[in-house]
Amino acid sequence: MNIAHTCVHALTKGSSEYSLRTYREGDEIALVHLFNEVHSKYAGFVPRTIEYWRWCCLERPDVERDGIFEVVDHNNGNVVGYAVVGRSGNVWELCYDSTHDGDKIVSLLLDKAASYLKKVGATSITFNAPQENRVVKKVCRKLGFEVLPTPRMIITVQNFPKLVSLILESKKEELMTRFDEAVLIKFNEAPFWISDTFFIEISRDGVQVGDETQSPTIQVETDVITFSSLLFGILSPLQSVMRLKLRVKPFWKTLTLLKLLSSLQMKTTWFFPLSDLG
Amino acid sequence: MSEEDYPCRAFNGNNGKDEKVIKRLIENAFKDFLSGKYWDWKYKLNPNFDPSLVAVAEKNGKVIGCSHWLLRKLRISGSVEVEAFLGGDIAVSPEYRGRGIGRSLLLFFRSSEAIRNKGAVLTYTFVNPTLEKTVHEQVVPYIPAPTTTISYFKLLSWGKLRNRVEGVNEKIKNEKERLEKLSSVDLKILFQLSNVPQLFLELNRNGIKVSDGDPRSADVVVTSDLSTLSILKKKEGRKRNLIWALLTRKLKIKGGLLNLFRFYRSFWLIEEIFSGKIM
Repeated sequence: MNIAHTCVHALTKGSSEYSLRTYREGDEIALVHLFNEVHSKYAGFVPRTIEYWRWCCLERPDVERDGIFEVVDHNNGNVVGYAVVGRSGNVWELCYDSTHDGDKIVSLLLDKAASYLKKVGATSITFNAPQENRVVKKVCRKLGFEVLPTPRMIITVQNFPKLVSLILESKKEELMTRFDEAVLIKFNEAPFWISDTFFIEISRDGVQVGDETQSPTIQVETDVITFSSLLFGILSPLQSVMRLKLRVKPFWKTLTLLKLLSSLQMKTTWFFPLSDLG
Repeated sequence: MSEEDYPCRAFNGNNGKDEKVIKRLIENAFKDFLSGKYWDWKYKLNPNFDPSLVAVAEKNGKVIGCSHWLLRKLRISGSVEVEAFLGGDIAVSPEYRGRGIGRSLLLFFRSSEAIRNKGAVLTYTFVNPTLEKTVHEQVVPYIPAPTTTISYFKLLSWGKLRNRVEGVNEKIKNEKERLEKLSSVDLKILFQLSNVPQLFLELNRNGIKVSDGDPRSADVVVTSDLSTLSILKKKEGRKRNLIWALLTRKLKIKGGLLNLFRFYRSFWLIEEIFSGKIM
């Protein structure tokens, strides 16, 4: 019997019964499905394919197959949580189905990860989780985990017209009913790889982004950092006007522009598991 | 020096020469963390690897720096997914560091038409504060990602501290003044930090030892937690932080009056042990 494939733990509490086992060839289909289901709601999500997951987890130099733990629901045999644990002490991915008993699943996975890491001689255990995940927070407090600062992630927009076009497209229906404007955006001191002007046109006929417009109804002068901060929800449109980071012509169109920029803002929570860091 | 002194070009994946040099540069910069095997996995075997996204900087035809980028799909909001470049490792040969080569590589990446034609909407990079200030801040107008990611950490053993102690002992052996100071030290300290294994240190004229002895024989008992310890590790405002931790009882030091005085006298040694990477 292959020990690595033996169920190593079983827990029954309430109506759910879960068991813990290590990775088996072919499990990646269920694991990738679970990862995508759980993480797709976050900004920063890098969609997993089987090929990508195999590279990212299974073939990672510090990961052995007996370091990938899965929690299986006894009722139907489905994988409801998993952790990819590297011998370096990093839990590269930790993921569970929130419709199940997260408390039990996360406890099982972290307990197992810690005992595995002690066995292989790692000195610590580290993993990432979204701040708002109360289940993980509660379990970590119970198990004596500390919170550490995460590596800083920085974003640079390469192509504003394309980015704005994608945002407009995703909010098209709402924007078309609320606005009828041609907005010219002009960047001060834009670096050479960024076009310093582009326009946004919204009407009942549709939305579009382009290089020039015949007669803009609003002209905006700003800088690359302010506009990036506005799009990613770091800065509110009102703050940017009050700090004189955004100049609007004609002045009486300021309120319309603020409403438009508020609609364009992306406010999804960002999260990245350790496996996406490198 | 200007960036023209260090011309950049795309990586040549065909002759194997560039790869060899890049691996050496990376190993030198990141030590064991990015050995050749790790580079192979991280880049060459990566399903998203594109050799045209690796750049090298040269001096008189010799490769002295490199940067890596990977093209990925990235979700940036509930319904918007974009093509994005993930910034990978930047490494520069030690003798050429601090001369703007990292910046040259970043500028080369932005100016390359081949890169622009890939159609990526944004770039994102995980950075350490030093690299952020010396390289990125000088070249690109960036914003911090509005992330709510947090890292959970738990110490399982004091293995790294044991290695650190060995290093400190070795260092002190070669420093006459500190060796003399050490000859008057004789103290057993027990560290009881919440949620981590106990740490029992013996300090005497032979040096420091992570002891397996009976912790009940400790002269001084230090009770705290890892977060407080991390704050106290920072050089900046250490005295103030130490007093604050004692006043708020986040740090408790118990022992006889004489032992507490000896603890105070040997504090330089404790500082030395904890100042390095121990977790």
